[in-house]
Amino acid sequence: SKASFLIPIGQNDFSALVIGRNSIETCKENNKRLEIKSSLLQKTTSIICYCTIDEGYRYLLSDDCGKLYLLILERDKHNENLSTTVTDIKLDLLGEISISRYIIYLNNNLAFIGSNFGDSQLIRIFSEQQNGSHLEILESYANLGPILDMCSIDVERQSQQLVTCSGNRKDSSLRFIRTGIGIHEHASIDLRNIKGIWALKINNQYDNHLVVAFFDQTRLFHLQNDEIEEVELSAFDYQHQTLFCTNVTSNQYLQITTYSIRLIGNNGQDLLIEWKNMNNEITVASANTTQCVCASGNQLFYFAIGSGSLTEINKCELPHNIACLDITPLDLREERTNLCVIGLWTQISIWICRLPTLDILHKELLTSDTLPRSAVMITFDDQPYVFISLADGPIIYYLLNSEQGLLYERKKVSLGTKPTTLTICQHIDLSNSSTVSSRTVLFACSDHPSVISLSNNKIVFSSVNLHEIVCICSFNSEYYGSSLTLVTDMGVILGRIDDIQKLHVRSLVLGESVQRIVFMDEEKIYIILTQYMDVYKSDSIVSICKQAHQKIDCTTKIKGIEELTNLQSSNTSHSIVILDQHTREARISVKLLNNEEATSLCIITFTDDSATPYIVVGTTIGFENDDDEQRLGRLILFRYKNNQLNMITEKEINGSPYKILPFQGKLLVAISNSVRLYKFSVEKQELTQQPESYMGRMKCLELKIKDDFILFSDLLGSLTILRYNINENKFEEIARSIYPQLTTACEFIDDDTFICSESDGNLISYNKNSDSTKEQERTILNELGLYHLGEEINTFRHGCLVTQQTTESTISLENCILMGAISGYIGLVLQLPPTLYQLLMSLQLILAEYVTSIGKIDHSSWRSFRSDGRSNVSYGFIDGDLIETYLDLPKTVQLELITNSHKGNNIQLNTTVEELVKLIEELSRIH
Amino acid sequence: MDKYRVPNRANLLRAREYGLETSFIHIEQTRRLADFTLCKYRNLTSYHHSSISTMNLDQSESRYLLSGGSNGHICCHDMLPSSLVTTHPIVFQIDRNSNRDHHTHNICSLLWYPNDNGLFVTLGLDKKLKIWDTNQVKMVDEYEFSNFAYSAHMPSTANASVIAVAHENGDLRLIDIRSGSDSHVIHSHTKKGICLVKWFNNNPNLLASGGVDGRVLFTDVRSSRAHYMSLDRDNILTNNEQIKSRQTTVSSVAHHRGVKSLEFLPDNTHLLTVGADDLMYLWNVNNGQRLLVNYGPITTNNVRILTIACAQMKHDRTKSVVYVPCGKYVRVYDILTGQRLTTLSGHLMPVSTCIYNRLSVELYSCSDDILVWGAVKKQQEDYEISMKNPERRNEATKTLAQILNRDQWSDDEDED
Repeated sequence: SKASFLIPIGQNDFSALVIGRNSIETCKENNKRLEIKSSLLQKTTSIICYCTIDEGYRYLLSDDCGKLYLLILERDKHNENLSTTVTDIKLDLLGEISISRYIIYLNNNLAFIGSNFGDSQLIRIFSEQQNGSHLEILESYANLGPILDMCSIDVERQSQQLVTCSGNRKDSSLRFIRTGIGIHEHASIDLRNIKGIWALKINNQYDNHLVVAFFDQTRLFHLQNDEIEEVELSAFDYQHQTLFCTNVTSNQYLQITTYSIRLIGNNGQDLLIEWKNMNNEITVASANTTQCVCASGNQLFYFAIGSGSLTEINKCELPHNIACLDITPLDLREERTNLCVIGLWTQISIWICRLPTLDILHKELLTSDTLPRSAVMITFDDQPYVFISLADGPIIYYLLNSEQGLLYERKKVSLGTKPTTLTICQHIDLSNSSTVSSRTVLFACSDHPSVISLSNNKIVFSSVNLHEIVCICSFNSEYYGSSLTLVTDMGVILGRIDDIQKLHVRSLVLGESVQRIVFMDEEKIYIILTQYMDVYKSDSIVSICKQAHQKIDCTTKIKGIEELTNLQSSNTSHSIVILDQHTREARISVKLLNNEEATSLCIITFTDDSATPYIVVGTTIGFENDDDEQRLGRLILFRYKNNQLNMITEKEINGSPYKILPFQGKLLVAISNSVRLYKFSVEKQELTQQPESYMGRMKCLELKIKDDFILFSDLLGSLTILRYNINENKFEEIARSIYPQLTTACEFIDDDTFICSESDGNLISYNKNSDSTKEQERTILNELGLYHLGEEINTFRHGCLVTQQTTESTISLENCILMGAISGYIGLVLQLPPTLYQLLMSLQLILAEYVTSIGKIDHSSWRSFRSDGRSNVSYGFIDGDLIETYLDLPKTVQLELITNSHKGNNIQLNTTVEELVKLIEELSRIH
Repeated sequence: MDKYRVPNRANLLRAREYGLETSFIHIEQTRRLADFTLCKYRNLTSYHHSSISTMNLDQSESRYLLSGGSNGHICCHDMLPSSLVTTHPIVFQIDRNSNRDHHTHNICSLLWYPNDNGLFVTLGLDKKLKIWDTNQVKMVDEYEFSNFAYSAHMPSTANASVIAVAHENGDLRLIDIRSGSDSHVIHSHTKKGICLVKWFNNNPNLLASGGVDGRVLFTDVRSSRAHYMSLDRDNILTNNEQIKSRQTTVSSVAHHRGVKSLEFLPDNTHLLTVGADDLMYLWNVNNGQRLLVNYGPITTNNVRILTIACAQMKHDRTKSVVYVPCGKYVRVYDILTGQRLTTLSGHLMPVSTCIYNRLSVELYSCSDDILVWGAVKKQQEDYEISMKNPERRNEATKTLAQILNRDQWSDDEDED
């Protein structure tokens, strides 16, 4: 095979190691060549990477299937001369790693594997075999690249998730990316049907007991180190559901059950006082260390707690039943409060009453159809708030005047769709150990769990990466530190949560290349196109198409295709795999014919039958060394329902369907340089080609649609806007770009603006001049902006990783576009309103001057547009990364930059530091 | 032709998506490079009434094509967008009616300022060199000589400002357009005169000049010597040890008769020359050796200066072709093997200039009109089929009908 690497051996040896695709030999001047004979080097092996361990003796080699080899040169030891001769070469298989691009040998048997196609790894190499391998993977570093395709999904209409097709060959994976607060699980208990949970400190300064309430009973757990055991302290009531439980003053415990209020002392051994409401069950209760309120129907009782005493101070009757109560002190260091928040049934409202008199201070109607589920008083940054959660999910919050008990400035945010419970958590920040700072956050437990906190005078809702949380309590454990107990429908999790919202990536290893993905919302499934080659076979991974519960072989009735595909078998098999959204298990895999490649994929509903979604897959029959133009292909229509995939029909086409899209209830197909429309008739169950078509120039690389507009990107470099004229049934060319360039991806921003990426790592935005009076101008796409991104974009998708918050926001996330690049880069492009653009542009110019860049590369020269035949300054784009560096500057510098700008001659920032910081933080929160 | 066949496009596209193929665009260009055909449906708004003597395409955008006629008229066309059916509009024109600073005689050289297209230079047989502001179409500077000048050139490197002018009497004049100085004269060729001058692509101090005497000289403008190398046709690069290659001497001659064309390849190490002896030679510019490539006879007739166009692919330097005007035809050769790939025919008069557009991958050639050549064979066929479709014919606009009624040139016939 052809030589791919030459490695010099030694300093004075004049010899070299020649490594070919599947051969290794040493060469020395005027000497016989020494070639390796090893069973490890097979025909299909392809060595792609090497690294020297110690020069002249040992080398690491890796092949394109991720196998790591050790090459040892044996030398003639007797010869003490300068030039020792290599007598033998040995090759050993060490184990399996990611497909490597670079190998760096560090030291002490550690090596770093840099990978383009999979995760980079830090490995340790053993001289002796351990568990069947000579190496151990110590750490792996996530790599999303190359991103071939992606789709953005609303998970339960709440949070956004991005799924990317990443990697290549055996290291291919689907990556599930979402932003939110992550949970780090310490321990978990398998308990179901929990109604409530509270932490108690019994004979300890740390939380060590958990009171867990079920529908008609209560259980108590004791946690010591990492062991959990159920205990029965005699004074607690286990026969009824606990409504509230807490440590109270003078080392006593208060347990409120549906049956009674119990004041417990002596480390849980003695029941000091029990108060029962004879006639009715207690329905809701709340307490702090010295006070306690409970309600039974529409009756409200107020107690004061002393050492060994529980005194009923006052009681009253309200017009309606009480739904929720709260007497948490506004200042958590205080022991008592003089306000009580009450939520009512029937007349859905929130009442504030004064303690201990139970005078009603304020009544606030909630103007909602559903009852309040929980109410909480909390102080954020010296400002008291009242938060109320409703039974159908939303949260309403007010500012509270603590003197008069008035509520004002109502705001409403919808989070989940199920009843939400609010719990205050002391969130202790352990990141900097020197100053242990505690932060109070509010935890909203629902099907869309969120953390509510204050950041820069703004209430922030950050979503938590868990499916559903029933209830929660903070648990300051001696062993785990400050943590939380989260109750889900699967059990109790003891864990820690992140301080800030960040990106979380989960990966699903596929074991075969994946090229395209779509998500079918109706059935909650992912459909992916994969390619499996026999060389990917490995012991550790089973490829996804083989894991499927149901395996189908695709057939054809088209004669021409049948003949062609029967001819020869190949070592590559292409499949369509259907994955479940939640379990991420392969349900069905469809193996295509021999030599048939799946090229495109979409989900479509046709005009005739707009209720049924179909899956369409475009395939090509690949002959080796054949012209692209003379290929055969077909469109296959599938119907997926109730775990069944049925092939409805197929249609032969004389080309390769590179892109397919649903368009106006028809199927839009790009074949070679043309765009065609296909119609589906339900009666005949067949696809028919419509007469209308559009001819591009060379080959269609990308198609995007918006309403009746089509964005067509041609290999010859132009971007064309087409309009489908429904009345005349034909495609009309509206406008095209003029500069030839290789467009790698494109997308609509809105009706008149488009963005495209170019093969040299540039972004270009265009707009169309439909209002112009000159015909020449109307047919040309204007360049609005040029920007050097430095990343090769493979795909654009509309979507965003965060959900738009209903609280006031200056930025609309409607036209957000996500982009995925070969390197694994994911970027976000957002259209800015003109005033904001001008402000940020001025700031960018100022910052570019002030902030020193890496390597002192001038910002404007780095971002300026450069391609093979053209160069221009960058305009029309703002560099978000640079803008966000403003937040990291010291406050004095922030101010200085603004004031200096007024002295300067051209750039001015008419804003204050606070406004600017607020704006940039808001911008930084959208990604 | 096999050399210009490239791998399957579907596989290339897939490799590009994985980041494995970085020169996809160049490979695609290679596919089209040797497959040019006349773009029948692309017209340039007609302007010149006399024959066109020279053309130049701007380097910064590869968009604006200047053409100069033998009557001194100059016109600029916008060559974008390069659609299948278009008429390229005139951006501006310089003639007796529109500009009082116009040239009165044949235009010898047209030069775009290399770094941006806000400025261009024209040289005419009226012994005048004029510098123009493109945006206002206004002359900003003018140099008048006592001798005829046939050729002028400007270095394409950054910050270059020196125009070299080749005079009929053998003098090379250097004009610095920043200072306006035009006094630097190098007496390099003999009295017989020089007709061509070209700066090196990568060095703003070195230039090559070709004379009527058949000599090609390399000059360093910083040195006091008239030239540092003179190309010799007998100085041959060969493996055959029996052939003694001759070193360059004072009497070295590159061509037996006058030099008609000089063109550096984009790789900066090779030079192509065409002589009046009907031969084309390929030289290594570093050592002055001639490479043994046989292109066959190239009839140049009575055209004084030919402009040949070279295309070389960035990803693979061996994939390089040259477009040589040869009578009424344009011949396409592979530079390194000398193999003739195709012959483009369509002109009715001898062709003087070929310009290759690197960005759009197309060729412009001129005789009495300007023709555009591109790899559009299949598209044109598709288009013709769609126009012949009876449904469409009625819709075809009047202009399209006019285009179709034109004489249809074909590139199939070969003059051999």
